[in-house]
Amino acid sequence: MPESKVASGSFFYLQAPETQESHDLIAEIERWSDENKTQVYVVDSPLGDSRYEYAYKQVLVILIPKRKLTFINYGSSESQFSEYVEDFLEDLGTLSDKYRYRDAIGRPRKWRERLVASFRSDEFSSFENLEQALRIENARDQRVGELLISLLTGSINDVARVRVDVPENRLDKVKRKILLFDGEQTRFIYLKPNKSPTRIQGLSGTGKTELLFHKLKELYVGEDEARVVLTCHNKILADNLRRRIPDFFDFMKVEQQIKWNERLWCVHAWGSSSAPNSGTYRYICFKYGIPFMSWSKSTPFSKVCEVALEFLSRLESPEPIFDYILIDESQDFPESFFALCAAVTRRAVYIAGDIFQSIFDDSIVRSISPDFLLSKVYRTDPRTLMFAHALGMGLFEDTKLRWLEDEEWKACGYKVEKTNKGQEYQLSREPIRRFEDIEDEKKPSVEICEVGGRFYSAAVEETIRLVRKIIEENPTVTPEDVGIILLDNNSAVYEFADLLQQLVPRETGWEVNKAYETKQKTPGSLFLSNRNNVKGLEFPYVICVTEKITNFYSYRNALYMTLTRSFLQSYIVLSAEPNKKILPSIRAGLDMINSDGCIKVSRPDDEERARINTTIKVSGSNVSFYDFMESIFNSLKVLPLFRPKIMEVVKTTFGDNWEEAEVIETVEFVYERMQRGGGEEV
Amino acid sequence: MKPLSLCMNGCKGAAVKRFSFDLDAYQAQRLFSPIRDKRGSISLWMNSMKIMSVNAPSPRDVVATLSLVVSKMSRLFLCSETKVFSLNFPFHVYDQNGFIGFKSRNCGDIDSRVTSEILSLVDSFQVLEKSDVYGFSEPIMDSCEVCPDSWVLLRDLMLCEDGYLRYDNDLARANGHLHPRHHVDFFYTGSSTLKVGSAAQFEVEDLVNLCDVNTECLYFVPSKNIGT
Repeated sequence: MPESKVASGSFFYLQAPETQESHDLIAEIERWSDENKTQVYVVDSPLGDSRYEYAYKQVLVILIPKRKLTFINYGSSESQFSEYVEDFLEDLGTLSDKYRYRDAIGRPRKWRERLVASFRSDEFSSFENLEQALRIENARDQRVGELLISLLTGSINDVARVRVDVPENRLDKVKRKILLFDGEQTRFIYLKPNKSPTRIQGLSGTGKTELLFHKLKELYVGEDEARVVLTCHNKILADNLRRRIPDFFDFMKVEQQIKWNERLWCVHAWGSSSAPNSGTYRYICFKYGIPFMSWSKSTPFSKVCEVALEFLSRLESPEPIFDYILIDESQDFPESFFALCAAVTRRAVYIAGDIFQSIFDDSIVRSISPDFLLSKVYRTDPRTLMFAHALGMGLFEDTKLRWLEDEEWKACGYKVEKTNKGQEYQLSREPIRRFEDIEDEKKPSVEICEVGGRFYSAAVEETIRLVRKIIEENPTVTPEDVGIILLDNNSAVYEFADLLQQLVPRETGWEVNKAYETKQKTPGSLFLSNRNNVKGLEFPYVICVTEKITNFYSYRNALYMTLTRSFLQSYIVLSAEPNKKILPSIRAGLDMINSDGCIKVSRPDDEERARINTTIKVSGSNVSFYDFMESIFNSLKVLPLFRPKIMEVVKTTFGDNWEEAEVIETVEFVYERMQRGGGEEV
Repeated sequence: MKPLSLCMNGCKGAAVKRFSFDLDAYQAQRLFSPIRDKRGSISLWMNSMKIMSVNAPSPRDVVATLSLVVSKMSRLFLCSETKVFSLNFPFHVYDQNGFIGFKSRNCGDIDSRVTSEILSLVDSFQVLEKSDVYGFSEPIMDSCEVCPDSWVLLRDLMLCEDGYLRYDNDLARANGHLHPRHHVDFFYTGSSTLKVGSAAQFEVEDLVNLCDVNTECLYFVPSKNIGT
C-alpha cells in the first residue's frame, strides 16, 4: 500500500502520494470537502486490495458522491495516463463482478460515458470550478456513481437490498441509502498501524463493531500467515461475533478459508480450563505454560492478567503467539489485559470501546484521547440524537442531571458555540449522509404523544394509532421496521404488552414479537420489548412508551438509548398529568432542535455542576445496596429492629433505580410511620 | 361444529363456573398448535392466561373459542371448526377486582410478567429439552433474579398432570373400529395414548360432561357389542 498522509476530519480521505505537483490540488480538495461537509476520497488505486497497482503514478482519482469518478493527470504522459484509466476501469469492472454489482449497474461501457471524467491538472482553474462540471444530475446515475465509490473504498453494500432504482418514499430513501465509510472509518480500516496499541472510541451507533470486522478481514487476508484474535469480555457477544464472521467473509468475498484456532480466534477474554481455545487469556496460559486461574473474589480479571504478565516477564524473550489482537467493548477490561495482549502480540493490538456505556459515566474525560475518534452517529438522525442526549441529561429542565465539559461535548460529536461570556451554549451536530435525502422534508424526527386518563389503556390506543399512521404514511413499510419499547418496569407494563400482542395483529394484520420472551428479533414481526433487550438494534420507527419521566439515572439512560434506536422517527407515548411540569420546557427544547437544528442551553453554574458531579459519583460508585442502606440507617439512627422491613419497602418502591435523596426521604417517612404504629406493616 | 357458547352456568349437575372467550385468528393460532409434550402444555397454559385478559374480537372475526370450566374439575376446552380438545387447568381461578385472576399450588398471583418468563424459559431457552443440568438451571436462575416466582411456577407446571384429550371428527381417515370417524384421543405421547370411538358426533357439551365427575358418566361399550 502506498504511503499516505493521515488527514484529519471525517469528510476527507486521502490515499495517494502527496508530491510537489499534487500538493496544492489535494489541499484545495480537502478544504472544499471540509467547507462543504461533503465526503471526498482521493485515491490512486482501489482500496483494500493490494493486487491493484499501476505503473503510472502521477494520477489522482477523486471520488465524491453525486459527482463523476474523476481522473486527474498531473504528470506529462498522456498515453500512460490513458492506459492508467483503462486499467483502473477494468479493475473496477472486476470488482463490480466480484461483489455482484454488475447485474444492477451494468458493465463499464454502460456507465463510463456518463459517470467518468478525465482531466489534465492544468485544464481547470480551481477545484471549485471543476466540481461544478462533475455533478451528476440524474438520480439513478447518482446511485450508480455511489455504488462505484463503495466498490473502490471497500464499503460494500448489499446491492440486492439497496438496489439501483431511485427510492421514492421517505422510508426507502433511508433504508436503501448506499452506505459509504467516512474518512475516519476508512483510515482505521486501511492504514497500517504506526503504533500499538491503537485505540478507537465512539458513541454507540458509530459502527465500531462493523469496522472491527472490516479490519479483521484486512488483517486476515493481508498477510498469509497472520494469526488474528477478536476478543471481548462477554461470552454471549463473543459467540455472536464468531457466528457472524463466516457470513461477513462470504459477503466480502474472502477467498481464504477461515482457519479457526489456527489463524483466527473469536473468543471471550477469559475462557475455561478444560478448553485451551476457549478464551484469549486461556490460550495465552496454554501456550506459555502459565497456570490458568479461574474467577474468584480474590482473583478478578485484572489480577489474573497481572499474574500472567509477571510470569511472562520471567521468560527469556518469549515468542509472540499472535500477530494482531482486536479487542471490542474495551470499557469492560482492566488495563492489565491490554498489557497482556500487547506482550504476546507481534504486530498490533487494536482496542475499541464506547465513549460511555451510560450517559452518566464520569470517566469520559480520560477516555477521549483515542487514535481514532468516531463521533458521527450513523444510526440516528442527528436531531433525534440531540434530543435524546438533552432529555437523558435533563438539559431542558430546571435541574440538570448531567453536564459535559467542552472537550467532552466535542468528543461526542458536538460543535460547541458559546455566547454571553460562555454562559449560553449552542450545541449542534454535523449532518449525516444517510439522512441527506430526507433533510428537506422538515419532518420532526421525534414526536411527543401525551395521553390522558388511565395510562396503559390510553397508551394501547395511542400506540395502535401510531402503528396505523406509520403504515398509512409508508406504503413499503414492513412489521420489522417498527420497534415498540416499554421503558417502565412494573407489572402493568407486561399486561400492556400482552394486550398489544393481541390487539396489534387484530387492528393491523401484523404479528408481534415480544422480544423479552423470544430473546431475538424475528423477521416479519413487529418488535416489542422492554428496555433490557434493545442493545445493538435499530429500527426506522421506534415507539417508546413510558408513563412518567423520572429522574433516575438508569431510567434516563434507558430513555436516551431507546430514542436513539430509530433512524427515521421516534415517538414517545407518555401520560399527560404526571409530566405536566416538565413537558412544556421539553417541548420547547424539541421545537428548537427541529427549527434551529441545535440545543440551546445555559451552562450550569459552578455550584450546580458540583452538585451534578457529586450525585453521579455517589450513584455510580460500587457501593452495594445493603451497604448503601446501612449507611443511611446509621445516619438516621434507625433502630436495627426496623431495618429489614424498611429495606424491603425501599427495595419494592425503587427496584434498581435508587437515588440517595429519594431513598432518605422514603426511609424517614416509613420509619416515622413505623414508630408511630408500633412496628406495624406499612 | 359450533363454537362453545358464552355461558356462565350452562352445565348440568353441581355449580359450574364457566368463562368463555371468543378468539380471533391470531389468538387461535397461538393456542391451536398440536400438543405433543409438556412444553406444549405449558405454552398453552401461559398463552391462555394472557388471552383471557384481553377484550373480545368483533363477532365477525371469531374463529374459535376458549372455555375455562371450573367445578370439581378445572379444565380448558378449545373449540374451532375442525378441532375440540381439552387440557387440565392446574390453577386456582378467582375474582380479582372484577378481573379474572390465577394462582398455582405454590405460586401467588400469576401475572403477565411471570407468564412471559415461563414462555421464555420453555420456548426460547428450551430448558425442558436441555440434557445438561446447567443448561436447565442457568436460565431459570437468571429469570429468578428479575422474577422470583419463575421457578416456583415452572416447578408446579412440570409436576402437574396435563389431562389432555381431543375429540376428532375424522371422515377422511375413518377406518372401521380401528379409527372410527368420531373418536376421542386421550394423552399425547405415543406409548400412552388411547383412542375411544363414539357412535355419533360428540358435541362439546358431551366432552365437558365426560370430564365432569359431577355429571352422569359415559360408558365404554366393547366394540364386539357394536355392529360393524
